[in-house]
Amino acid sequence: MLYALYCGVVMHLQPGLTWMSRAGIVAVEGVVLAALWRMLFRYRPNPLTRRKLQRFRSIGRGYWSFVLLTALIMLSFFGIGELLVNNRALAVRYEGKWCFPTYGANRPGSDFGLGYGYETNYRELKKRFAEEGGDNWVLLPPVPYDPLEQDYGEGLIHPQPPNFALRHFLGTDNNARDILARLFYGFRTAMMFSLLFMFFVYLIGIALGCAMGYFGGTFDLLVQRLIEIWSNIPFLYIVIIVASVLRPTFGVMLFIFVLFAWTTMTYFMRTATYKERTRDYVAAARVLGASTPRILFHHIMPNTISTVVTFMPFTVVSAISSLTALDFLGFGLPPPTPSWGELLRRGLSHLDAPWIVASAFYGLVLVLVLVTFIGEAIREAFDPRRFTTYQ
Amino acid sequence: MTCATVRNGLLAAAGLWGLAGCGGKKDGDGAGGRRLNPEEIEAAKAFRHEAAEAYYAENPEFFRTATAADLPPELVWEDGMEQEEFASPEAVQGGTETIWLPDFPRTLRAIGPDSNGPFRAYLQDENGMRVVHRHPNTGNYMPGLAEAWAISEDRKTVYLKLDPEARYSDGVPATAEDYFFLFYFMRQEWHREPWSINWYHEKYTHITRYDDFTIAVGLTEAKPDPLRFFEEDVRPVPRHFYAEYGDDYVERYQWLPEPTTGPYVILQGDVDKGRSVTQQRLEDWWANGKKFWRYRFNPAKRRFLVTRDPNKAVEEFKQGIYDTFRAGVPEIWYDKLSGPEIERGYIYKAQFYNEVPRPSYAIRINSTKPLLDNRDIRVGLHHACNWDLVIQEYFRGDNERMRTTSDGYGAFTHPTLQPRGYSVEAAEEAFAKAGFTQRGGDGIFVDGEGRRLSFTLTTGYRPLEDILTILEREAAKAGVEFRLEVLDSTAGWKKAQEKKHELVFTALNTSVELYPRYFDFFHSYNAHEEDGSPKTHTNNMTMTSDPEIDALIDRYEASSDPEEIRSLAFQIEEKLYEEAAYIPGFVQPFYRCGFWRWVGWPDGFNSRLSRYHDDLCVHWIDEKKKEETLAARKKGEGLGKSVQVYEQYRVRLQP
Repeated sequence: MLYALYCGVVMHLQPGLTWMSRAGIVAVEGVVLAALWRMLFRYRPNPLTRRKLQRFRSIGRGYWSFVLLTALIMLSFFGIGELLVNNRALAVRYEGKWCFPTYGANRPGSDFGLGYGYETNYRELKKRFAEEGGDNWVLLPPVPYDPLEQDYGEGLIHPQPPNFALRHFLGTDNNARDILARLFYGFRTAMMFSLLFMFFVYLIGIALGCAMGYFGGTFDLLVQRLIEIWSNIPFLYIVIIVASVLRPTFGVMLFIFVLFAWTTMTYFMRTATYKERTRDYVAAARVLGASTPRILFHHIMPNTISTVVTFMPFTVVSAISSLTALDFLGFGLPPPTPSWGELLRRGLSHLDAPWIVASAFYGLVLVLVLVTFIGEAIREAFDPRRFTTYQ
Repeated sequence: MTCATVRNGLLAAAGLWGLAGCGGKKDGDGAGGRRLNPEEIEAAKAFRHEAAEAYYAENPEFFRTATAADLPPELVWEDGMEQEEFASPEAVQGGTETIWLPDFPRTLRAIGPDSNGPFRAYLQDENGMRVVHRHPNTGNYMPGLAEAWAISEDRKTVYLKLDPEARYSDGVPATAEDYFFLFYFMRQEWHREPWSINWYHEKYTHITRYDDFTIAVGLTEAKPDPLRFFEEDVRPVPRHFYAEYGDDYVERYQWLPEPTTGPYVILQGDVDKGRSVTQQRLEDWWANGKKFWRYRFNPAKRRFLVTRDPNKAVEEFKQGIYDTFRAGVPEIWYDKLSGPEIERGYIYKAQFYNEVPRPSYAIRINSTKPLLDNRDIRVGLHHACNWDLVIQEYFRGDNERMRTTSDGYGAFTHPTLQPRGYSVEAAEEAFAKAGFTQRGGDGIFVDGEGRRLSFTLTTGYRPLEDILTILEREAAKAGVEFRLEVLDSTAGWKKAQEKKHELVFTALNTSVELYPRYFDFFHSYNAHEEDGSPKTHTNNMTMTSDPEIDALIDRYEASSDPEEIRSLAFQIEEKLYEEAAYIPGFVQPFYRCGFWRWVGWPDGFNSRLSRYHDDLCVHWIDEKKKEETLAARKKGEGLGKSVQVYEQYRVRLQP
């Protein structure tokens, strides 16, 4: 795990990432790692939670979707993706010395006797070593392409259909970029975006919703009106307007998405908290002298959280679809960021090259179906009609 | 003559806002199309526009009246009739031509907000007559609304003998009075186009009426080619139609096309908002039998259909909905225009090379921004842009590298200047001169102070974003980072106009002119305000501000001697090359299209100075061949494939 974290950190040195997305990677990885740590070593679920988890596990479709999606996320995050899909070699043996260029600063061609100052083209290096026939040797990842680089073969017109000899397993787009690489890193972008989006939306939604339900009165009334006004602003138009006049980086997009999405969660939390705060255990806690934050976060929240948890997968679905839709319309992340919406757009304008649209379409369907299955299973497992959380 | 941005972006943006126009109601009463009855024509002839006449009286210096006897006797009248015709006598009249529109026109007005859209060419520029037109083969002038013209000795006054037969589509004759009205019309603020107000105030000094069909117009500056100020901007404006011209012009005339002196007219009920517009050919058009005008504008009807998705439009063309289709984009030409329709010879393809000034696709460097104010870095950026790869891969080798800031002006284009080519070594060398010798961990150069060679490359052309991704990848090899900023077309243009960009990839449209313009693009007058702040809404996007270049441009502007103009143009080009703030991109030295077999063309396809296949309207629709072709398609018969490349006017830019 430490190694994974290390890889993740080193990955941020990759060129082509903004500092916002780097920060995003660190944040997501931090949260996930902390959660894993806690789950594996410290977490002792209470019997009720254990029963819920068992129930979740028993729903095969949802559980296996969860396993598959987690595996995909693990593969694409934590720097493991760089070992699978990357134009940098995994290992180079040059004049008796070993070198592992996957992570860290890029190595100019001059390091390997290529006589240029920019980053080594390892595919060419491999060919060259093979021609020279010496001891020098290059090991490339299974997909030896970067999502941004263009691979112009001589006499080839792009888009090219899938070509196993060149290891373009899903073909290339009309800009000569490997589709599998773009799909893979597009998945990372989409997942990172939606997980961060979910984190922030729930952070704001839960905090504000709890506060509204717990304090009630004027505060509740004012915030409700504010939310009503706020939720009447058409979100998509705002994003399109902003994207057409600004360069919408990952951070900017995330900010706008969160800005308009936090309102929904507040209502659910407000109602749940409203109900809970009149219960005896809350009164008991108050009598015992517990502070407001303690009552909110220690006593009320665990009893309301099941509502929230069931919404989570669907929030992820909506974030992925909105981001894809915006990219599709051309108002999403700036080029040349790999994204699924952009791939879909390219695919639709090149229906004569069906491998583009097919890759993007099946990728999108697969992920959305997986997340939806997980969502269904969670909803089923956390169904309050089956369990009660009253203590 | 307006320097509008090239409106590629519109194609992409149009789709989103499409819903707004879908009224689905038959509307537009085509006021300009209705033929008036004889009494109405008499009334229109006698109509006196009081507000306009009051304006003439207020400006007696500008609006002058004289008698035929006052015409200078030494004038040499020309009529350009010695030139050859360019349309084909074999042209077949009749039939309906269906044309693709990417977006429904937002207005049918002649001027004002939204009037400069893609439909304007069909409504105004290529349909409306002007006093003189440039002959598309010789480049000299040929008669239009004027039968003959004469230029005064000081080259500051142009005398015009108007064609007495000229009349508008409603039957009213176009007389000298309507040319007076043009200046009144254009100088009002009601049409909300400040550029035009300015133009008609500053470029012309007077208009004189000698009789109903003889006028003279004075110009502020003497120019070797004074008719340039007439071929697009001087036309009669039907005063009887604008009886109620006032501050509600923009709304009142929104869907009322002006009566035109051209051959096609929009009649009542021919506007189906959001979907289609139809134009009818005037059977008794006044210029029907005139040399240079006969055998042209052959289809009896032109139907414009709106399809917002360009890919869908290509498919519709292949189904036979449209008769012709532009195919400049390699993907359309090579990939989409392929298949049985082409192989079996139902659809033909033609590529036509010629030499005209074309949109100047280039990267303009804002030379006042940090780091970019260093010439060495600008030179390095030139070497870091791999246009050859763009041409090779994106344009499939069809386009050519642009050499100077003003290619395509024949003798006025610098004959030997070559642009800086892509070379990582040359770029590294130039950056080293500016103190950038070390590459960072990501391969981008960093100097001793920790500054990175990273610049924002802005564009408003979403459809061309792939070009920029090629440049970006290649520049990274040379140690420069381009942060791509692909904006909406208006936003991208505005950013460059406000000089907030670092690098901008854009193109300016050029009309067929005799010699290039420099003042607008490279004179310090258009770079800075008096207090030194950037001057906004000018086309000096490189922010070039060099006293030597200024001096050359001033002389260039003042000169009326073609030889001197030419030599000055070369000197300016050389200076601009030294300045290195303008990275010439590419030019497409041809246009090309696909067309159904039933569309006929003159020998040699088109004229030397044509800009598109349909701008001179010399083609025709052969209904008989159409039936034949459709029948063959039904049976699946082959008729013989045809892909023609016309190179008779090809000029190779690179040795």
